[in-house]
Amino acid sequence: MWKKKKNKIIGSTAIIISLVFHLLIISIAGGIIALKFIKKQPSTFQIEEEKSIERRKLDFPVKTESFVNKISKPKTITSKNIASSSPALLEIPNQGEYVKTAPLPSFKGSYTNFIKKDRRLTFNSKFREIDFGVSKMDFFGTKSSAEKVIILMDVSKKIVHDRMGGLEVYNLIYDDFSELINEIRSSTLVNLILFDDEKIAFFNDSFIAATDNNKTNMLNWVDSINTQSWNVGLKGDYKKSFKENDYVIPMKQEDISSWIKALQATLKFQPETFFILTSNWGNTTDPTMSNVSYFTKKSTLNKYLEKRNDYIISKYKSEYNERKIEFDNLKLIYEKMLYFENKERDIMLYDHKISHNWTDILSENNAEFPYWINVESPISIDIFPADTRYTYDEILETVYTLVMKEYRHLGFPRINFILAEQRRPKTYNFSETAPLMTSRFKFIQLCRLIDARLRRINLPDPIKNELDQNFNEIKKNIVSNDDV
Amino acid sequence: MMTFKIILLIYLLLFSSVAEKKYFSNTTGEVLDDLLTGFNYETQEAIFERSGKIPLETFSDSDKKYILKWNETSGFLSSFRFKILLEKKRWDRAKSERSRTPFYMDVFEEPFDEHLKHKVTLADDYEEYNSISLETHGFEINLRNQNLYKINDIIVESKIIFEKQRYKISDSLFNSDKKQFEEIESSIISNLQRDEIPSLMPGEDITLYSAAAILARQILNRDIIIDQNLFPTQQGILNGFGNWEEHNRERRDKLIGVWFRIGITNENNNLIWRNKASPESLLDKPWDSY
Repeated sequence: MWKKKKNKIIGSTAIIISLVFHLLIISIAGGIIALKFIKKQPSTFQIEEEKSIERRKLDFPVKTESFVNKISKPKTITSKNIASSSPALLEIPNQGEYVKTAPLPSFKGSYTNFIKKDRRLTFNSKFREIDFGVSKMDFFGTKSSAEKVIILMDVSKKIVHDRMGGLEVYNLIYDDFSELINEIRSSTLVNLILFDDEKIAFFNDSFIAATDNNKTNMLNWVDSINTQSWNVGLKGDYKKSFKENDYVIPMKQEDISSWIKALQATLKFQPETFFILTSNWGNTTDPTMSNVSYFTKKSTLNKYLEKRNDYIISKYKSEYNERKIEFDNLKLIYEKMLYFENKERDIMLYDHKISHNWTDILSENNAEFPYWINVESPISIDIFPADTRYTYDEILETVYTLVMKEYRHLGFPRINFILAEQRRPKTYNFSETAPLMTSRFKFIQLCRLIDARLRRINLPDPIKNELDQNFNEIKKNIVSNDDV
Repeated sequence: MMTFKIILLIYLLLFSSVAEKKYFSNTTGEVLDDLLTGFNYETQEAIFERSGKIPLETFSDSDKKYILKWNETSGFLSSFRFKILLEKKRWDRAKSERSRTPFYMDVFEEPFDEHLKHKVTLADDYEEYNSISLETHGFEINLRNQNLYKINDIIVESKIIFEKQRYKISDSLFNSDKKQFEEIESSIISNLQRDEIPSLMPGEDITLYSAAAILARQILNRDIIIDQNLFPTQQGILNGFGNWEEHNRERRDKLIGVWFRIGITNENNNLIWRNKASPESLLDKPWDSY
């Protein structure tokens, strides 16, 4: 009985607890729902604000630094451990400086970190250890890649006389030069040297970075060259005091001129690439002999010419006097012809005539030209004509010695020759005049020897005279004026 | 060679014994009369003949400098701890050769001419062969400091010595049958190179280069190419040209060797040199004789 009662009580209590618990849950749930309904606002129209489109800004998660600054950082650690030779003119990095200065010892497990050199910065070029300043260049079809480049440019009268195309040639050169300069990156080091036979002019005493400012100045400088027919070539030698050669070479220093002199003056900078624009091989060129060209031994040549002249005067005195008068008369006719020609050109607003030789205008107007006194070969004097000029081999040895003296273990630099050569007169045959003596042949041979490149400039047509002058009429004119 | 080396050794020994410092002072002014025989760089102790090991810090400033410089000098003079390796190199070579018809070219000037004029006569009966080989030789020297301390202010001088030949007379056709045509004259050339190394760190090595020796070999051969009995020669045109056959000449420069001398200033402010030459017989003569 007691047990039954007890079971009833327990059963009813459990039911009550269960009911209370369920009621509590239901009331909480009902309360939440009721609250939601009470809070809900009536729906209304909302005008969304129009978003303006802005450029996205790039966020660099890392602080950046100029690449050039990074490169120049190791400088301070360096110089103590470098073998320094003569001090450079300006603070221009020398060949090999970056590898020497870069503090990148690589531990290879040997006795010391430094024994094995780190080659990570060494690139393919022999002259270059880091190529951030390498520019690709193209000058009249000769192509190169370099971070240090020197351009040597002939500005002599030989390159702009009328048979070469006149001053138009220099416009042509300027156009290609400006393309070359514009291609060069600002981190490339560059310099420009002008030469006119023995005179040299430097754009700068050493390399300069090809920044926009420097490029503009350089182009302006070149643009001001050879613009007027009465003002052609260099007027003064702007670089007289460069170091005399102390090596044993076949050429005497006094005989080194034109492109070899300009090259010699710039070798100490050790550029990777040279561009050399020249009109001829040597300092003596004879266009009437298919552009035979060579370097003379000046003192011997002067002696030879003097002795040869003395010989002619002593042996052919009357003929000499007769011819001399003829040439004097021709000179008068030449002056008259040139005067008329230039007067006509003034009217046409053309440049004045630039002649390679005074006889040009005479032969162009079909003047009768007497031959100079012909002598037997060789004449009986103690100098041979061959003694007055350097052989081709001597020039090769000179150029090679001058270059390798500076470059030593680096090897021969890249040289690109651009030849602005006068067109050969059709009447003269190359093989019959002087075999292997022309500018073109010599440059071809030199390029084979030193693995250089050679391109020729396609020159404009020769400038024709504005007037067709009659030799005899001018002669008569001069005679009648003399009579008056 | 041996004699010279012995004389050099005696001279150095005499020189060093004369210049050897005997008196050292400490920071309190006391004087030590002893002979310095060594220095332990790791423990920074100077080793004396009688007194044994004495810490460097006990010496006066000037004597500290002296002892350290003495140690630097001995480290530099040690062939084991300061290694010098010499290597011969050919840095570049080039050759040009050509055959052509020889010619006589006279040069003259006409009145008022700005440019010279020329008259060319070909010697059709002959053939000329020219060749020139150019080589650049040099030496590389590698200096390796295996001391535990740096070596300062190293001077490296080198002289590359070679024989240069040149022809006595020009290559004019009219010289071809002369006896002198083949004669050459020689001269000995020595090209100096000087480098300065401010400091060579422990374990560091550096490669330096001698000046370049540019050696030329030039050949000129002139031969007659037709039978003079069957065909007339140029002799009439070129008066005095000569009836020569196979007139050749050759000149050839020779490399003699290189002498490197590496020097530092010792504790007595004297410049001392270590010499390395190839061939070693170059050391038989004094430096200034080259």
